[in-house]
Amino acid sequence: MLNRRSFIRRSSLAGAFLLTPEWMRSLQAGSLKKLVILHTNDIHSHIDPFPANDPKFPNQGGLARIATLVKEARAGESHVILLDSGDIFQGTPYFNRFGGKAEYELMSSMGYAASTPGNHDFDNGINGLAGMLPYAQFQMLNANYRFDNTTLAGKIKPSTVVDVNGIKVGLLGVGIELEGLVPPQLCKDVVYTDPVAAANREAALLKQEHGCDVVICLSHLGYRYDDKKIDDRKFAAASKHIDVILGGHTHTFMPAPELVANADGHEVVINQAGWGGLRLGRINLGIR
Amino acid sequence: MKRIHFLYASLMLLASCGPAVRFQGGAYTRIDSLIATDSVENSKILPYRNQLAAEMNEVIGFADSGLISRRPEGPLGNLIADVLYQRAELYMLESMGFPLHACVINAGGIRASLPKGPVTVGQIYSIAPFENELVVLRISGAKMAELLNYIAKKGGEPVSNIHLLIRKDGSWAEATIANKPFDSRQNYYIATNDYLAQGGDKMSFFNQPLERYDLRVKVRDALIDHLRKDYAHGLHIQAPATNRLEYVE
Repeated sequence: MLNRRSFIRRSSLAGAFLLTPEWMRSLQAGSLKKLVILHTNDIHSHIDPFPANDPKFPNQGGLARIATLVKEARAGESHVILLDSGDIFQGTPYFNRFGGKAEYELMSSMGYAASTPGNHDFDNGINGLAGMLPYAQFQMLNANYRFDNTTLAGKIKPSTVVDVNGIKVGLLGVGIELEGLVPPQLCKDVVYTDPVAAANREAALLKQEHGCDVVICLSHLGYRYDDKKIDDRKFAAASKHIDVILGGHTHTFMPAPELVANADGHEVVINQAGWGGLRLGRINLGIR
Repeated sequence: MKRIHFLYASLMLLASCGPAVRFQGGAYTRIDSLIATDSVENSKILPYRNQLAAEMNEVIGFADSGLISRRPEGPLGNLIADVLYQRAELYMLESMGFPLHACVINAGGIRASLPKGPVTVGQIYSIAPFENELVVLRISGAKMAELLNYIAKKGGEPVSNIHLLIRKDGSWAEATIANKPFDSRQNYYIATNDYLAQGGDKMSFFNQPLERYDLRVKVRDALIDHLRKDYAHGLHIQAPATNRLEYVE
């Protein structure tokens, strides 16, 4: 579906269309598959559209509108996955009064496959997040936080494998350092570890042990920092076995997905879709 | 010839080991009123929305213009810093008998814009969703200097009763606090929120203050109280001037 609301960018014509012999063979054999990734980040409890008189985003956003687009995509394509990159909580009275239940229930019925805990998902503490997880019919993933001795232990897995109508999709999550960001009493028992080491370990497992066709990382690290702090671009460059990084935290409205060479010289796609449900991001992948 | 064979072999090797995934374009869709609302999902939101309506739809203000938050300063950040300053100043004068110098908060804590026209309780929740409370800290002149350095380096944070001339390189040229030139030998009483007071956003100069006063009022409630009172008196919300943090050569 193409109309004036959608903004398409083909960032790498060469990457998309210069086919190696293997790709040519797959194309001729008709075994090429197309995976459509739809994604959000930093929803921040913006279930309803922004007010009509909002100075920045009048009558924009709204999860029930995103649901319409997701249904349209699923009706038109055979391989669609819906993902989120964290900070679902905090931002409207829905969170203050219901603690995240409304957000999780809605995202479950919209058919989200997974999300990752962002810093604001700890705003009601570790127990506040753990108490809401029963309402999420999607996976909550993180590979670089350790939750031992907390009520989240065993409830947030580092990675998972999802079958999208015959495409084996590996999913994992990485999160930002919480110190100086989340008040210590809310997350003091969550241990942050190096996201690159953790993600590469999980991604290798997904590709080599589980035989995933594609590996997608849900990141709440942030798109770009000019100092040494780890961000999606540095993370992508140091990564292995990850094909796509869906970002969050910095509320970045990326005009188009960005391609970065990883530690093996392979292309990694980075994208982020603003915040507040103001955009639905989309990435098309060819899989042979 | 040998070289060409080697090149060909390398290419074949690359092709057979190459990735099985290819980027075939990306897109985004701006979510606006041209997109239909899914009725099934909307019906699931309805019970929650209805429960919130009575409390959140109460109109507590009227803004003559929309107010946004931005760096180095925006009208919304200034308004919130002023409201908190006034609330904390009153507390200090009444309970302690001495005045407050200034208020400093974080732009990152302002999460939405203030709309033009009628303003509801729900909209104030979106602007200030956190449960943070108002505190007053007494800090040394040295810590105050660190605070000013932080504001200049960050490219601005919302302030009240501070005037700072910032240089493009992230240092500052001149600071006025409570209408007096900054003096590193004196202590300062600064109103802020308890998130920053415990080192949030890496504001380490607020760690271990000389004194701390907890006002036991949420930032959001201080805002709601202030707006509601003005509205009851028929006063509209006006955009404060943006002349507190200024860039100089």
